[in-house]
Amino acid sequence: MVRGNVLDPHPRVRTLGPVSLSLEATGIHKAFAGAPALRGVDLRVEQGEFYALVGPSGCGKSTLLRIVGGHERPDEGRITIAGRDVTDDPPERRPVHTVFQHYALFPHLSVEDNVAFPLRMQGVGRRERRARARESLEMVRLPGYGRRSVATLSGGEKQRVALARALVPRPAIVLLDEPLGALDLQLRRAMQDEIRDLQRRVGLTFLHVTHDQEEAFRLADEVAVLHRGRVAQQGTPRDVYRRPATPFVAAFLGVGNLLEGRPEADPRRFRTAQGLVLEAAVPVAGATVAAIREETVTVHPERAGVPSGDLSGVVEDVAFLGAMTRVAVRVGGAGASVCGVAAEDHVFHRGDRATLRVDPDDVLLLRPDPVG
Amino acid sequence: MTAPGDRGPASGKWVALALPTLWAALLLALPLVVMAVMSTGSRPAQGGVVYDGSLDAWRWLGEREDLVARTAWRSARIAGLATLFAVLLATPTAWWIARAPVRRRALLLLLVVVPSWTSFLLRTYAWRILFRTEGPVNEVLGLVGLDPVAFLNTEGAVIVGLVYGYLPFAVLPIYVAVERLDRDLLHAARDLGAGPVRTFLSVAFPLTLAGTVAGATLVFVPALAAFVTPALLGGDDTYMIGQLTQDQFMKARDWPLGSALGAALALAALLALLPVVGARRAARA
Repeated sequence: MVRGNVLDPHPRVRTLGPVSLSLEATGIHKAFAGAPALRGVDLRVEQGEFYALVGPSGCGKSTLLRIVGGHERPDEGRITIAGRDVTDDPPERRPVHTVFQHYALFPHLSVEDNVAFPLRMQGVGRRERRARARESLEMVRLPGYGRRSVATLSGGEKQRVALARALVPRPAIVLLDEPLGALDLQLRRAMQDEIRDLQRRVGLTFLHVTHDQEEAFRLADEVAVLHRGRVAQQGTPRDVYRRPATPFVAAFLGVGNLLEGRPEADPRRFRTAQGLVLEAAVPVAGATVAAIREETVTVHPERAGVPSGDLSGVVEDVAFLGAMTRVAVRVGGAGASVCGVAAEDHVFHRGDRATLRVDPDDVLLLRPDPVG
Repeated sequence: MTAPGDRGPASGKWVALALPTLWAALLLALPLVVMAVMSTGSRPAQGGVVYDGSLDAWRWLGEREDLVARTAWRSARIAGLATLFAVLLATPTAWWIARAPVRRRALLLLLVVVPSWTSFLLRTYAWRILFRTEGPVNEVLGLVGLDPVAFLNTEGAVIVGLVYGYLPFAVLPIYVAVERLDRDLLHAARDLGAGPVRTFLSVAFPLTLAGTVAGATLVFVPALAAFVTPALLGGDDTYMIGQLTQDQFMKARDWPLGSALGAALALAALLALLPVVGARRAARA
């Protein structure tokens, strides 16, 4: 500590590395009436990055976004935006703008006056306001909408106006709070592509909150998965998808087979509670769960001369999913059910005997989720 | 659809429309009609009214235009100032109630209305006691070393009395408007760079204007026609149109003239409200 103070008289103002940070949140804690919502969250978002916060409802992602926006005060921790500590600043003094879930467009103002609102608050002159509002509306593909009343817009159009309004002053960060939650599925897909494209064109930092894992992975350069007020894992969508760090993240990402157990003397071998032994390519000390994606497990009709490492049992359930057929097989007699994909379009029926083939590369050993 | 199935809701609709119409006719229109008819009578020697289709009362109004206009103008000024102060007091009160925890709001609203359960006359008398030269207000002023102020029989006392009397009518509609206001819009305004004051002026106030206008109307109209408050708290120079009307009935026993004054006041209030109604209709379109 002493050395830190000698070298750096302002320990809260960090010297920025080669990449500049748009947002740095350190040690954020927040409780509501004694119930913890955030329990020590750290976040670093680089400039120009599309960053997604994802997790189930109640994980604290929206609270974190409101803390960044200044609408909520953290109990502990600091928020630094574009190199400036803004923890004690009210929302209007932070260089961030939010796209609210229900858009929050001002009903008494026209589309153009809505978009120009942040510029008016900054004291930008009328002519420039008008020009920049129009430009921003063109950016979200709503040219000529300026004079319309907000009440006449469709959900997708309101969404775009809210985006145009948040982008127009070019804030250091654009915060998006479940912005597509109120749209139907088809429109949501279209808007996802559009938001991604828009972010690339304007080059601003986006911090996007969603409960939809697919949306987060589709949009973001970098994701953080939140679980009960903590960051369970952060990284690129590819890394997080390939190597979920905890059983929660694996389940959240839709990994179908989560088998509890513990490693054997040879740490590559994992024995499940039901007595199955699985081989994993990467040993993990203290692992309590083996995670295997359904789509990496192939189910074959049982034949003589089964190679070692494979598992066999009785088909319990068959579900046709279009591109593949999911087969649940009860293995090891003790009652562990493992799901896989029918190999070579073989048609299985309940009660058939089947063999599962699992590549050790696809068996991920996971340590337990943090308790409490 | 069968015929009986159609008749049920249709007749229900008819009753639903007819009842309030009848209600309005009885309570609102009928007294006005009686008043209009009475204004065309004349005053017999012992007072009261004889229905003879005379326009004497209206003629008198025309002849004494200066007195009527002066009184009306004074009434409008006093009622206008009372309305202004009532709205200025009611707005923060309404916001404070609307932001209280849901369970406490009902209690606070009750507290706003509770004084109305006692006689208005009694409560106005209470102000007479408070404002007396040796009353509590002057005693407090004396404690801080100020000379006693003659509050009573002034325009200020009348305005205080009117604001006090009609404040609940301003608080309630403003509260309803604030309560309905989408809180996200206030967050959005702050988020987009507006401080608390600008958030109020450029978002909250315009979006709750309907409630403010309704509250102002509900204060202005009865304040314009007030007679108890100026009679008890005011003096000669706060003589209001309501007193003038009241005096025709109770002192001069000239019912036709009192009716003509009442009808003229109702007409003037209606004309004054037309722009308000028009503006609200335009705002909705």
